[in-house]
Amino acid sequence: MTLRNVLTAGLLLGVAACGGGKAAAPAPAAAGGGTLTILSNQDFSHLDPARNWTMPQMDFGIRLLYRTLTTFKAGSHEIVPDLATDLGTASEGGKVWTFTLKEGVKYEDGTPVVSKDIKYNVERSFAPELPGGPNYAQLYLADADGYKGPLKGRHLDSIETPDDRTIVFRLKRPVAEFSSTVTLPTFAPVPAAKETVAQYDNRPFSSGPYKIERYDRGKEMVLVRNPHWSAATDPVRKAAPDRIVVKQGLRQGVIDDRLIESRGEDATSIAYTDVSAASLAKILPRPDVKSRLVNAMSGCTDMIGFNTSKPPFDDVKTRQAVHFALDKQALQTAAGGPAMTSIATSYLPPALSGGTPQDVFRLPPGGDVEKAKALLGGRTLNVRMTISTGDKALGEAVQASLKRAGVEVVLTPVDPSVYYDTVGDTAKTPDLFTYGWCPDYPSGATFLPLLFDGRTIVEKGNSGNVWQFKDEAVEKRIDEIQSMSDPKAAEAAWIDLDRQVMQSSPAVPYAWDRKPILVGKGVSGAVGHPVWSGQLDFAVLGVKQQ
Amino acid sequence: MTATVVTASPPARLVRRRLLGGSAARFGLAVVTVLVLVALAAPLLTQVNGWPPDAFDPAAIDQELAGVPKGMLGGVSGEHWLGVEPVNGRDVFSRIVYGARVSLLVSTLATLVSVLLGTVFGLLAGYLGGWADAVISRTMDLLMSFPSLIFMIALISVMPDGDRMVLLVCVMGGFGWPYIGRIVRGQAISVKHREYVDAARVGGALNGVIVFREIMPNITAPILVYATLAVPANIGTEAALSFLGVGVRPPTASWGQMIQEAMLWYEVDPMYLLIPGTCLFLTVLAFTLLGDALRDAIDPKGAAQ
Repeated sequence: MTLRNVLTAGLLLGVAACGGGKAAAPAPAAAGGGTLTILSNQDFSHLDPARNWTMPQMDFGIRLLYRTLTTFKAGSHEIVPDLATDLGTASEGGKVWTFTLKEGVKYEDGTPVVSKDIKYNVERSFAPELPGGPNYAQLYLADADGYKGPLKGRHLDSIETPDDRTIVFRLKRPVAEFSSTVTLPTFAPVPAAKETVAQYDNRPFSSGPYKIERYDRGKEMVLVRNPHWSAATDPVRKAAPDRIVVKQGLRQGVIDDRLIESRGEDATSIAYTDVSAASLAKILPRPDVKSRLVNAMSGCTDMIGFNTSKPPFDDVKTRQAVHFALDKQALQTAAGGPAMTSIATSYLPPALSGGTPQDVFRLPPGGDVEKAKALLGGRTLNVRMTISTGDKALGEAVQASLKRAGVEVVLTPVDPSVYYDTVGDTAKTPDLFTYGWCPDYPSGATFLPLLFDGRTIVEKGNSGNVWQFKDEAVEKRIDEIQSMSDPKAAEAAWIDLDRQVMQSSPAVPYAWDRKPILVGKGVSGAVGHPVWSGQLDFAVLGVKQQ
Repeated sequence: MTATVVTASPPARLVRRRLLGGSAARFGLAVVTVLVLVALAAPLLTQVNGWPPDAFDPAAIDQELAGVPKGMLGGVSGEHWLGVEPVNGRDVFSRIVYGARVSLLVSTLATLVSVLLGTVFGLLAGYLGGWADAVISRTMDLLMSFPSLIFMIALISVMPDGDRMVLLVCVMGGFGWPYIGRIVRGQAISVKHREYVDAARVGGALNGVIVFREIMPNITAPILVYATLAVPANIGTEAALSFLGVGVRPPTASWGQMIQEAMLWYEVDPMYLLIPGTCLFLTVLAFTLLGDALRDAIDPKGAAQ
């Protein structure tokens, strides 16, 4: 799920929030019935499954409105079949994947979900008219070059639907973790008859436990039960509340205050986005409120990026010098303090490096100024850093810590709405900038190739490899690891590659975040999902009857 | 000789006596004087308290609590006289005194630019009349009808790399001059048919000499009053632009930026909002009182009305 998720959310809020406490609250059995209210400071940008790739709306879509071939268990990295009967069968060495659909899965109008509807939505993800969604179908499917989506009547030959319950994907190369790939909303069903192109965002046709009763964009969405959804076919979704109401356009401070007090309707409410840093200072000293703060690891890595395409940061030593000089502790405080973030010591978050953080340089948390000065060899630098207006504290922490090593940083704050366009435009990329990345599913394959493969760089709208890092040895290694058929060996190889790229330091990882989300007193099943950046899992939320 | 519009008695002494007669004016003058002294002595003052404006103090904030200042009243102590900023622990006193420099410098320079442009163009329009007047007056109308704050934000946003101080001064001055330009133009029109101007013209004086030697000295009073009242308005505008994120570049201290950051924290750390807010309030009030008193002193007819 991308940079955009983490970053836009964080930047729009203008804070990297912080908090404390246990990673996951114990989840009591969700009681049925009642109305769950979701308080949000924003509208959904995309609910169309072909375009939905940002958290938390991706979680909202695939847990409440549509089902995918496979999905993740609540609160776990474990994949379970969802629309499919199993996790798929690989053949031809992992290049062909076959899934069989369950019987009795129905849309909100009672018609059955058939395999060609899934094929249709995968094809939709190619359509330039429907941008924004996950691009794994483009990356993986065979014979898809130049394909522009199904809207003009053309279809992909590399997806076959021999009958209503079978779907076969033919891939360019072996993809060992394709069972995980099909958890993405790209692999949810959309009947061709319900196609409304851009309008589909407003009213996705439900195959999940709820359907949209009313949606007034930016104000309110009301979900009611989909009577044709059957719990017997669905191992994951509890669908406890009778109704779910999303109230949008509230200020984050107001949401925080309402949930801290948790009176009346607010007792059965949850926050859609992170608690603001200032509100955390109100929450943490109160144990009763703190116990309602769900604070799971997000699995995302926050980074300070270099523009490696031009001086001074085209030089490895200079990048390393800045890497060593950064005071990660000050950056951590700016991002919310130790209760909210841990100091990152490699690109891969601990969840992707075998559960334990990998510390490549063993630097003190305050940085190693002497080593940095030695690497600079008496030079002083003048560099420009672009930050989003909400990240001022972070920018100032970078500025103050680099000054110690003789690196002067000029900060240019820009509006959050143009931040990624600036960073992603190779002609405009600043010397230094902030960036972040979250894995789409727990595999190094959704992390390192997207961030450090020099062949993915595009001139405008560049994302992932925004540092314009080109290293043939790394690219060769990426290809080798991607062709491995043993997922365990591949994971170990990604961890090694992580160390290798750290030596070149195209970016400095500084924090692994937690996701602080406050819920009301009467909410049960509030657990941050480890795969989806610590976002609440909408599948198992319930409300206690008051 | 040139006649003074005000009175024939020694004008400087009269103005001073009138100006310092009121307690409001004395208050205004005192605050402005203190402020200017503090701004000038900023490096000295931060040497006394030992905290440069950009120095982080991790020991003064509670990192476990999202970076709230430790201690009462936003961390007020012998070490940090007015407390510290949340998250980074920078000394509020040091940032306030350096922020005063930015506020005063930008607003004074912007006022100078607008007074200079306004006087020159206003005099030219008023004295020359005809097409020059038409062009200048329509330009002034155009600038005054612009939603200037929005335009300033746009302008500063599209020039992200420039020196923000210079940009702020140019933009604020460039949008401010028509207000004084219109006053000057009106005064110039009423003065240009006076006998002494006619006399100079008959005596063969050049246009430039007439404008700057005969007309201008007789309209300095309204210019001076206007300038004094424009300073607080510009201080407010600078704070507003900083508040909206297009002010001086961080980490330069600025009252507007402090207020903007404090908004998030006002419930847990009200001192952080209170201190720059009070400073801004006192400064604008003092300059306004001083400007009012100056107008009364220079132009008693206006005061009587």
